[in-house]
Amino acid sequence: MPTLQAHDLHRVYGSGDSRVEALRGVSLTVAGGEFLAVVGPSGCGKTTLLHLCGGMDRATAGTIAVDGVALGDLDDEALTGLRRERVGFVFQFFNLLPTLTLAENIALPLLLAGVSPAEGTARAREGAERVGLGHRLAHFPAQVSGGELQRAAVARALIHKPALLIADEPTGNLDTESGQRVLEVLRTLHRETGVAVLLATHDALIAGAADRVLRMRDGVEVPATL
Amino acid sequence: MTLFRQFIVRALLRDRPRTVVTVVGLTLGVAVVVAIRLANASSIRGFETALDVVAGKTSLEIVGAGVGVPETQLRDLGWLRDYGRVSPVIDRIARVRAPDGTEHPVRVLGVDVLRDRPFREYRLLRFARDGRDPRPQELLALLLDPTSVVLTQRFAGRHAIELDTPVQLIIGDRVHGAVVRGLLLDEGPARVVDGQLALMDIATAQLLFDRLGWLDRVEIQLFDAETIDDAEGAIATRLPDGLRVQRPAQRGRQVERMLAAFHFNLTALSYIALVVGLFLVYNTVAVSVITRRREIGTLRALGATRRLVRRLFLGEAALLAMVGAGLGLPAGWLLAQAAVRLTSTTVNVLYITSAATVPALGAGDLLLACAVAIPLALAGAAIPSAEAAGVTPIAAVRDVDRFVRDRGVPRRSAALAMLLFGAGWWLSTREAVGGLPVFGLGAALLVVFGAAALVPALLDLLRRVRLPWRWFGLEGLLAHANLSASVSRLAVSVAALVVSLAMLAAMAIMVGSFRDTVGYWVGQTLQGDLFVATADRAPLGPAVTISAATERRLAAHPAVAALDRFSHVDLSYGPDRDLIILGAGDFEVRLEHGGLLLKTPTDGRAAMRRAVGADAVVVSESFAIKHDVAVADRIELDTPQGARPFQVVAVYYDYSSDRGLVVMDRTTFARHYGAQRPTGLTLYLAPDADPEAVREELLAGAGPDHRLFIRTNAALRAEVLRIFDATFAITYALEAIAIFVAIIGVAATLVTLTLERRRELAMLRQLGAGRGQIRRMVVIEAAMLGMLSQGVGLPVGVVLSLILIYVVNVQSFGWTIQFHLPLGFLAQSTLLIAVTTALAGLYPARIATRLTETEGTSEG
Ligand SMILES: Nc1ncnc2c1ncn2[C@@H]1O[C@H](COP(=O)(O)OP(=O)(O)OP(=O)(O)O)[C@@H](O)[C@H]1O
Ligand SMILES: [Mg+2]
Repeated sequence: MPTLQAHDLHRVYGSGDSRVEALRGVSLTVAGGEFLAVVGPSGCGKTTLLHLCGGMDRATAGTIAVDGVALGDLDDEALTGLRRERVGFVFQFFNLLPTLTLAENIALPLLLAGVSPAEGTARAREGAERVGLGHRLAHFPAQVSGGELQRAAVARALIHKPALLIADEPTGNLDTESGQRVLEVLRTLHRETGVAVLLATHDALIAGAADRVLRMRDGVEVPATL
Repeated sequence: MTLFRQFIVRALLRDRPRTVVTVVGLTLGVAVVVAIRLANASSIRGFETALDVVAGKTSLEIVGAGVGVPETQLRDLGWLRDYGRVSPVIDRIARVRAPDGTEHPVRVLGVDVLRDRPFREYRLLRFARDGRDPRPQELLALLLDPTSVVLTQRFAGRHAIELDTPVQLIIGDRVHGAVVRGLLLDEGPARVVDGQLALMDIATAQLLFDRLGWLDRVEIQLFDAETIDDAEGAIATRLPDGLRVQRPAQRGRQVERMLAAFHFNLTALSYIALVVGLFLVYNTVAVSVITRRREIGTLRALGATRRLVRRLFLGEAALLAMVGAGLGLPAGWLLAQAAVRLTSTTVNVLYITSAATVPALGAGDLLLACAVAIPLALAGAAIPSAEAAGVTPIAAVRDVDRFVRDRGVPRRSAALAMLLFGAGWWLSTREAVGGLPVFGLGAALLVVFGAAALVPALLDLLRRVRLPWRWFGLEGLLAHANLSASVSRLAVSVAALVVSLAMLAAMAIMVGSFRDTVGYWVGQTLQGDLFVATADRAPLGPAVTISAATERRLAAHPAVAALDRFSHVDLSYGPDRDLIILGAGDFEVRLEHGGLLLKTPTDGRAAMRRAVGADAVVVSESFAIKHDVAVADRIELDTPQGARPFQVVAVYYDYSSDRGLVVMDRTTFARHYGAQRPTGLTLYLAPDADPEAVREELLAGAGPDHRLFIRTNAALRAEVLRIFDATFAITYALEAIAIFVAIIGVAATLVTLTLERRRELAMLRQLGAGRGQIRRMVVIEAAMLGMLSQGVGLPVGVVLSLILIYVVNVQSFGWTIQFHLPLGFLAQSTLLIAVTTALAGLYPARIATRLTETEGTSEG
């Protein structure tokens, strides 16, 4: 069973004059442990697609299954539970909570899943060390660099051992060097944990790291000419 | 819980200004509610304890109509002894002059020692030393001497009064030399009234209090307390006309009812402070939800349920509330001390005098504080928490849904405001409930909420208005643009400010109108040249009389042209036995020398002239409204001969008491109730006399055994207005606090907005904006908000004041207040608000400039 299977996804925003068809029939499959990159020009619907696949938003039409569970059938509560247990997110703007230290941020998914704070902290320390942040545990997000923030975000996304990692331009907001380090961490962890990855990017170099690439334009998949 | 600490508590600590403001606001709200409750409780309790003490083991009591029980009737009441022991009592207030010259009120109980012995315990210091209670004969021997008085050990100790030394008792205008023959031990009853109790022989008390031939009541201690219902019924049927049997507690209930309207309004006033607290909580939670949308979205994306998000923010409110309650409790207790002083000057509380002390705080009060603060905070946080729960995970990445949401808000807010105003209008036309202006205050509350609801619509309007702000130059333009971009963030704190400003305006208009009305009334009514009273304050209360000697002496002064004697007694009236005031005056003198402001009929003088000597009365407006009485109606008043009909010939304006007054001519009064010494005198002087000089002469002629208070017309007018102002001082203080907190609330919101805009501000600086310009911009933002709030608050305040004047006040006190706009005050306050809000903008302005100093644009 593939970790993620999406079929003929449509997503329409707004109505009337402001109606936007962000996705117009995209299908994709990510097998267990596979790394799929989504590339395409700005506004082509990458983020929208990732949101749908991660259960953050609902499709206007089409079906999505994560680990064989059809998202369309889930109510908000169940969908939240699925995000909490099966999916990890890495956002372009890091999205660490400013009032939590890096360690606490990393432990957050565990805390939400009801793991005891003590165990959460221990596992967060472990996770932080794996992304090279063992020395930054007690710092608040405002006190560390963008690259470090994003590595913490990666650690957070994987702390609860999700089946699917969704990363939306994880290096988009970083300089090349920091971006490279984040990518390295991501690839290492992908290899080690066997998590399936769905990643959106502009960057051909980053897309090159993936097992497979999905090209998009104007809300539809385009064949890999060029 | 861990998440709560990390996500909520840390954020609260981080955004300290707003947190502090909210906690202060809640603390204040709780403090005021607790204070008013404690104060109300203490005055009622003061009365109840006094009642307990005096009632002793009394099960029933016989009371007369207004003037008391004629002693002659006691002889015909011999059959009462079939039911129990019987003891006649005189129960009055006097003042004791301590050796250091200070004067203190005491409750004086005149009893027949031999009969009273089983009713009350008299444990005297003198005998306790021998380890026993006094025998009745010994007590009798102690008290029989007309100069004997027994005080309490506690009172004597406090004022350095020794056993067997002389003290002076001041009763009415007489100064009576007495000797302290006994001290009641500091235990039991003597302790509860804080020791302000004196005992004397009943005959002595009758003499000293001008009560010869009268008893204040006759107490009965039933042989079998179980049969009280039967006994009460049986005695009631056998009593002659003019006498009634009741339980001692009934007096307490009468007083409670008398105070109900006053307490109700105070309580309602205290809830104003809570409304401000409510808005502050709403504000704090709403601002944190709005500014933390992205964080909430992240939490949601990571798997936090809607329920968890909602609980986090409700928890924030509850935490603030608990801190507020914890701090508000002691603050409330302190406030209560002040409020008790206020209550005792405002109400003519007969028996309370100074026995009212603020009860100590207990666990129950903590419970109350939490019971008030926490639901309030949760209510305030309900809407923003629901909004937080509605944040989608997408918000972690995009802001779009917010702007989509915003569009309908102004229109909906305007519609809601109209709905609330409409409902308020409807409520304001409802009748009072049990003498309390429940719907009137409800209407006021709806108008307040309506004003708050109107704010988003008005801010939206501000967004569209462009022109006038150009006056402030570039900074003004930027300020306007900034505010326009943050309508939803600002709406709540501006609403809170609008609400408090509206209430200030309403209060100012109401009090100003009231003051004007009272001033006019005083001017019209106080026509005499000199006013003679027996105490410096509280002209109403248990009648303390002016002696015949003094009256003769005053009348004999060559400059005194006429003398109007006024006396009053308390009377139970109507089916509910409300305590009203029955007054008697010299209608002839009043007619000749002026001084009654009539409401109806227009030709009141003719009506009054007809009332001289007839069974006719004039009634105060509050009496007419409360008891639904009009000119030409007949009312039944209790007299010693039973109920008698009297015709109402006029309704007059009166603001001296909200209990309702019924006044008859002295001759009529004497015919029904017997001759009573006057309790106050008004002197009309010859045209060429100098009131001040005559006053000096009259006072100088008083001699050592008489003491009088004489005020000139001007002094009395000033005194009336002084008391008036003192009464409303706490009202203003409350309002000022509320506004202060609200202004800080706006400042705190601006701080948040500034912090949020730091990158923008830094960019402005890089584009070449000077530090001064940034500062000016933020200050202008603050001032604009202040002016906008005042602009809404003023008209809403006028509407509120109309409700207060024409609905609430009429329903609770039955007073006509002439509406009057205190333009000067309102103009001043507007200016003050502009300046204070601008000043409040200085803090966020400083933050703005400091931020741009230390941080570049790079920060993420
Ligand atoms: N909430 C929304 N309301 C309306 N339109 C939206 C919304 N979210 C996205 N869109 C539109 O949908 C289209 C796809 O947006 P999306 O963010 O998925 O593109 P993207 O490929 O991620 O672009 P980028 O590379 O710039 O991040 C765009 O045209 C965008 O304007
Ligand atoms: Mg995108």
